[in-house]
Amino acid sequence: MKRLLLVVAVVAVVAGACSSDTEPLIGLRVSSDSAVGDSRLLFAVNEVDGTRRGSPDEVVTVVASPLNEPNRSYESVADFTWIVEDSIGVYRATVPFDSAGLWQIDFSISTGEPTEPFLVDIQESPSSVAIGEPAPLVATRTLADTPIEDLTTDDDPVLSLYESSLDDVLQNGHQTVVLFATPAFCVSATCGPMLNQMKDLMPRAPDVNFVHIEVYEGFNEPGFVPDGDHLAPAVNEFGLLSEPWMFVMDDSGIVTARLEGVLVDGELEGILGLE
Amino acid sequence: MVRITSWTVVAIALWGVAATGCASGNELADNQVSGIVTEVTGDLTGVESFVILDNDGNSHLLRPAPGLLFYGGPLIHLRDHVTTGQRVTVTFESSASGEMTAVLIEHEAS
Repeated sequence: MKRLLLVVAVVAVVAGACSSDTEPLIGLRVSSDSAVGDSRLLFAVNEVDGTRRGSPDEVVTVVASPLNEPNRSYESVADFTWIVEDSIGVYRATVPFDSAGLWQIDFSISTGEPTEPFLVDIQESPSSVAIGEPAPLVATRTLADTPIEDLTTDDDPVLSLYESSLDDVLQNGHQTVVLFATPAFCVSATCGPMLNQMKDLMPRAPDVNFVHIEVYEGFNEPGFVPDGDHLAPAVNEFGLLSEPWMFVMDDSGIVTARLEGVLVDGELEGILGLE
Repeated sequence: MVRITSWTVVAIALWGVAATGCASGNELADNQVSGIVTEVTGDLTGVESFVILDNDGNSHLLRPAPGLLFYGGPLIHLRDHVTTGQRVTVTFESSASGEMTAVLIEHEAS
């Protein structure tokens, strides 16, 4: 009988050690370089042991409020999008960040599990080009002066993305989508998909300028190191801190959208008015 | 003389499971930490520090060794791992003050 009790006790220890039922889910901010005027909040939901959660069936509602004004809050239901189908995804909430400082993000999930709030810092202005600002008129390398293999690390490039200099297309009276990404140096699942999503959408938007800018230059040179000395001039002109980043400009070259890291299904189509 | 019965064997086996834990089946050296990336401080020109949330829910602040790359790519790509939640294993050196300097970053072996 004593041995049976011992077994029961050990089983209880094992079960207690392995269970995370009582641990709250945690939110991880994915967006960076957020500032007043932005409204796009990307975040992930994880269990405390790092296990990624989230699916279209796990509906997440967000309540965001400035830390110093807890009574002023905005509630929204977050969209979910897969990064890797049926495996890894993130949520996107729309929050009108209208003041600088720390914001507390409370969220609830339809499973009813407890959650832990997280903080995001909203800057007065972003490091990169802000919504409402004119995009920098920076000349970029094109097929006219550079072979395609030195323009992109994409192993299946669409040549039209490299035919025109950014400064030219920003002044031709059409909307412009520019993507800063470096597929070959990306070691996760985010950079390639963003470029592929843009390539897939291009045939549906023939009047829109699409440009891909590789983040680094000289990547085929012997001894190349992806450091600050090799950043493409446009990366510096746009003030990028990370990549991939996509910017959308209106027909006057004014930034209308800043999209970091992940495109939610239908997001770019909506911005371009293709829906 | 101690008699070993089947109950004793079961109890010892379960105790072993409890003692080794159940969060990860991978063996880590004393100078390694494994988990998800939760924060990255830096930009495309360099990363100052990053935070790993290990499988037990503990956070570790690490600073990269000078010139450290991530599979030949820039360290800022650790931000992508915040997005994807893909786990990494970091081999580090500890200073006398307890500061952890990352000398190797790899995807966690599955």
